[in-house]
Amino acid sequence: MMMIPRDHFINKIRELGYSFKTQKKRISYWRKPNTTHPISLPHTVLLEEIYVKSTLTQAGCSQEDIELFLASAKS
Amino acid sequence: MIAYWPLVHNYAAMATGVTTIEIKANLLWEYVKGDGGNWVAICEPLKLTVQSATYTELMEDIADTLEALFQDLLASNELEKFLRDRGWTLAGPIPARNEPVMFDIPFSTKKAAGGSYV
Repeated sequence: MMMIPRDHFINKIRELGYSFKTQKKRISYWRKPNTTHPISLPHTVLLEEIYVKSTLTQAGCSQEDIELFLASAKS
Repeated sequence: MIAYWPLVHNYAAMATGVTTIEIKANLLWEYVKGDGGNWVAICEPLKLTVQSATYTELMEDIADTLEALFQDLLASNELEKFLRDRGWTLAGPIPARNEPVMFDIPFSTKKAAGGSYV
């Protein structure tokens, strides 16, 4: 079972160009400028691997890039 | 096909001056339970993923995510294009940008086949 630290994931999506837009009760809404693609980020310390894989895939990351990110989250 | 129109019989909204916009997208979210015990739901048409601690919170967080998305699109004047790009249609005019607006976006959920998604 692998959980990914939220802060580590935030660094990744910032690197991809996403920026924070607004906050709701348990989620933060991020968006990439000049696109209409959003990310819903939960207010939790750890993220499920499936959440991270799905979100990064939807953000356009390659499988290789995602695997490298997950490996970096372990170390 | 998605129709969009303001609810004209929302008396509470009329009394408060808030326009409620219903988006009839019938969005499907497929969900699984992650290894850490959290629920994760994915909506492919919108390319969105939501993680929540409980199923009840998942439903609320999906609704909050949709509200945030459409409010953001409305504020940036991209709502019409966003809907059109997905083949969704407008059934009424978009309110003026300075009008307070609330979105009502019904959605459905389904357990992902095989219990996994990615």
